[in-house]
Amino acid sequence: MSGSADPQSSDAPSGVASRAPHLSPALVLLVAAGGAVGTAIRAVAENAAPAQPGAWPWTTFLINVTGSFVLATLVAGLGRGGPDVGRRRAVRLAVGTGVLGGYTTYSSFAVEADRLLSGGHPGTGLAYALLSVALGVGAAVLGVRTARALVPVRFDPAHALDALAARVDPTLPRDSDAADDPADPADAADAGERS
Amino acid sequence: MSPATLLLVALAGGAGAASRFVLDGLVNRHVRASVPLGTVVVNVLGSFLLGLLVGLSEDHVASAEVLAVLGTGFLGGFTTFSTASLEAVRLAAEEREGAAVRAVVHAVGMLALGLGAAALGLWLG
Repeated sequence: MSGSADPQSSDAPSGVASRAPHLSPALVLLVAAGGAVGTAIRAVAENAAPAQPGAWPWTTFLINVTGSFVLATLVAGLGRGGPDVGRRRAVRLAVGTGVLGGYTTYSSFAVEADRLLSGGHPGTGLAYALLSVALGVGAAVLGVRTARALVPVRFDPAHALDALAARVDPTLPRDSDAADDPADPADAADAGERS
Repeated sequence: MSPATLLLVALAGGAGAASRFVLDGLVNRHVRASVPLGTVVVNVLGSFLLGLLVGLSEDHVASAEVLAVLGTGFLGGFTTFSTASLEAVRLAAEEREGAAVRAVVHAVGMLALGLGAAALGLWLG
């Protein structure tokens, strides 16, 4: 894993570790630690209220919708506060990719929906599948709006290494608004006007 | 669920989440598409494997404890719903032609592939 020479990492601004995050053992461990916590919370909830045959799988449903809301709030909030590096990226990976990624689940959702669809409850199965996806996306939109209401924009996201949060928030300037070269004086003036 | 099983489930979930992080990073870096495919690959693969595992546990090939650790733990931590939701919102917010269509195709495509993969796993298991 160490010393990988990825040609695409030359995109990274100077002063930022050039190794891709998913190849950094420390960041992978951070995701694992968060994932263990999120999985434990989900396991306790599923154990307390397991899915019953033929019935709406409430536990997974609520986990996935609430997790979508919290992840969107977190990622959009972090993105408004500053670039995705250092402690900010560590929080995104530990809490977002780790805890919330481990808390929510697609595999249980898909198997539960299939059991309903093929087990004589096609209406419930179809409604469960479609409503989970629709309400998950709706919850994520609500999360982005919550972050927008709570967190002031403190940096120009067009220059961030990872513009994920900027793209999530339609009110923020896009990558395409800025010139490719952050050192471009016209671009810098542009950024000055926004702040 | 005993505390020892819960601990194993949590550790397996951590391993699953770390595997997702690495596989998602590799796919998104090496496969260039108009929509991010890392989460799709992870969720479809994980849904297939959970279907297989659930099928095997129903035939009593896999015990309830194995199902908890590998299914609820590893595959639950490996797959993710929250990132899938966020990716759809991110795609819809892009200022490119057909952004909304791409978001819907991404979400519905992942759903169809995930359901199909889980059904295939259940059938094989």
